[in-house]
Amino acid sequence: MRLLLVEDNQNLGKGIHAGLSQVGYAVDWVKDGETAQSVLNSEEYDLALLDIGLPQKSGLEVLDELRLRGKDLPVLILTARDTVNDRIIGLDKGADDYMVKPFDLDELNARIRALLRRSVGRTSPIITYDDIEINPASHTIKKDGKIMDLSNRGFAILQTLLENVGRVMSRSQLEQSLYSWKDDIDSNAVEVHIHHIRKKFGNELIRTIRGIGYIVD
Amino acid sequence: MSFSIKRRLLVGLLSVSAVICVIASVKSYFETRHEIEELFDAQIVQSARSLLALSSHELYEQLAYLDEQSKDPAANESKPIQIHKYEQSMDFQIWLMGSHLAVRSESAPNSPFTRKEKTFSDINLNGSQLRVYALSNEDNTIQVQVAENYAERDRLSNSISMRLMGSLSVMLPLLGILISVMVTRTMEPLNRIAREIESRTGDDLQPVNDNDIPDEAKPMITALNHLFERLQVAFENISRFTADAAHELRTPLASLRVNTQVALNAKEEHMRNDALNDVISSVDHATVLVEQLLVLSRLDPESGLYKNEHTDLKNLTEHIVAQQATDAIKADIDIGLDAKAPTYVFGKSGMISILIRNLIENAIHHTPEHGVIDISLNMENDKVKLSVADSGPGIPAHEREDVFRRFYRIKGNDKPGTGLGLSIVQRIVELHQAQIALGKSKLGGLQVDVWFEAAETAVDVKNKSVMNKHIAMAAQ
Repeated sequence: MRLLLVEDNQNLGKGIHAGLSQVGYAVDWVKDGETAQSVLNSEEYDLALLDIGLPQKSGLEVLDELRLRGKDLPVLILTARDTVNDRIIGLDKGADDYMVKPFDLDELNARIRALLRRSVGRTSPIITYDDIEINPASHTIKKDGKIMDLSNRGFAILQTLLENVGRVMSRSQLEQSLYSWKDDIDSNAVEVHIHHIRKKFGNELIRTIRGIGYIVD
Repeated sequence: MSFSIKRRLLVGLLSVSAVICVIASVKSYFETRHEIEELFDAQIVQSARSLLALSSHELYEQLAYLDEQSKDPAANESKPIQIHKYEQSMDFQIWLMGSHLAVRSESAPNSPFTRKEKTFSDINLNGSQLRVYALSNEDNTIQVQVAENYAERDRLSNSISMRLMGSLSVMLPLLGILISVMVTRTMEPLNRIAREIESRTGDDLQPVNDNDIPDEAKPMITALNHLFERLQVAFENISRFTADAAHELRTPLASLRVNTQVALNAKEEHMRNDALNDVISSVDHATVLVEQLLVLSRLDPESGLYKNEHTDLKNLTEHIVAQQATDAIKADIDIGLDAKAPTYVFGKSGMISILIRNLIENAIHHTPEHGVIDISLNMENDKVKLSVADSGPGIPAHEREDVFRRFYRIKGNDKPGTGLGLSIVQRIVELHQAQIALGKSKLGGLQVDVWFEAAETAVDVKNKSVMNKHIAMAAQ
């Protein structure tokens, strides 16, 4: 899962970035509205965390522009302003959720999971496929009720594939959900992770579409 | 000393009216009395004329008789005829030939009232004051003398003065009541305003409705409304400031919380340390914010600046630059001070040192490594100019107004800061009635100029007077 964090405060941004990376998200962090807008135009994200009080362009302007261009990725607003009116403005502009500083990191994580779940059309927190159960909240995978061990990135790939059952996921799509800009992308990384998954869950689970990508069907 | 307009008006109007009433009454008493005199005198003259006219015909016979009798002196002692019982207060005598009393009223004496003719005279007869008038016929054979007792006039005068007193005693209290009602009604709008303001809650700063207010009270109400307006603005500023401050404090708090949780969840040592370092720097940020908020709140205009407080700006600047030079050196910045003359300015050294420190801190903060900061003190048109110039990025011209706003951060600036430093500087500038300007420095970055009012120190004054003495002596 690839998230965009827009926060101008150095310490807070660094903290959120670290906190979200700890639970396996690929997080890109930008510090002003202009940059946020341009990366939202050029890159694909599963969710954006947006601070309102930003230099150059406020979070609300960024949000406005995003929705005008028809992008429907979930947006969670992080702000120090807490009056009802502030919340109404944010939600009316197209935000999906709202968190007032200071907030709890675990709650932020839970809300991100809920937003991501709803954005792919699920209401249950647990993704199931055959005898496989993925719980993004506890970051656990079970097969036949037994907990399986999988790396953070392997987990992310499997989750993406199982959330998009029946759809071919290109290699670059999978790569994007794994890496933020800071990471050096290993050209074979996706293959390596798929290989690990197949070793643990059987070869039949993921089918390779040669030259394009992978599918779970 | 407190006084009541109502009481003043009441007492003033009442006493003036009373004095005027009394004067008018006294005057009208004397005028009436004079008129009465005239009237009565006229009546006496009239009576004398009537008597003369009525009696002359009959008396001519007696005159003829007297002519015959004149040879017989005994006839002179004949008793006068009493022909008429006139008004008791009016007595008369009719004399023939100047010596013969022909007729007299009952109470009139046998001797003539007066010797004077055609004029009024006052005589005293048997203890009563009489007004007498004598009139003779053309050939001076018959003389009528009419006397009237003064008691009659006095009685009338007294009765008139009694009436005047009576109407005064009714009029004055009535006047008092009317004036009191009128004054009370006139003052009512003021009482209404007082009640209106009294019944307000502390945060109700709506202007007082100035309809139905006397013109005289309008300047006061207008001034009051202006004060309300200013208070309203001040209150709004304070509440906006408080809200802004609360919001600004939330970000370091959020950062504290998030980084603490990251540290707790960290599996690797370096990640935990990283997060904990961020916790510390969040605390530092919050500390600076709180300290600057406190500084701002202490820059209260009420704490007062006195014209007699001087600060040696050169000394103070040297001291602060020395303190902050270590920070600059750490950041590899070349910092220097150029202060020529000792410069005394009006103001509190505590406040001015906060100002200088803030400006230098800002400069150090925004100047990159190997940069330069120049601080200088100069005299410019009787003012002392403090300049802090740096080789940092500067502030774009269109943002130079905004940077004085509280919590304003320059766009694109990701250096940590509270956005309060220049607000504090501006507040101190205002309190000292100094001027501040932001511009582009020769070093390429920002230049801040502050002009302080130069102060004459006690030493200067002493030197000057000594010098004047020398000049005076030389002139001699």
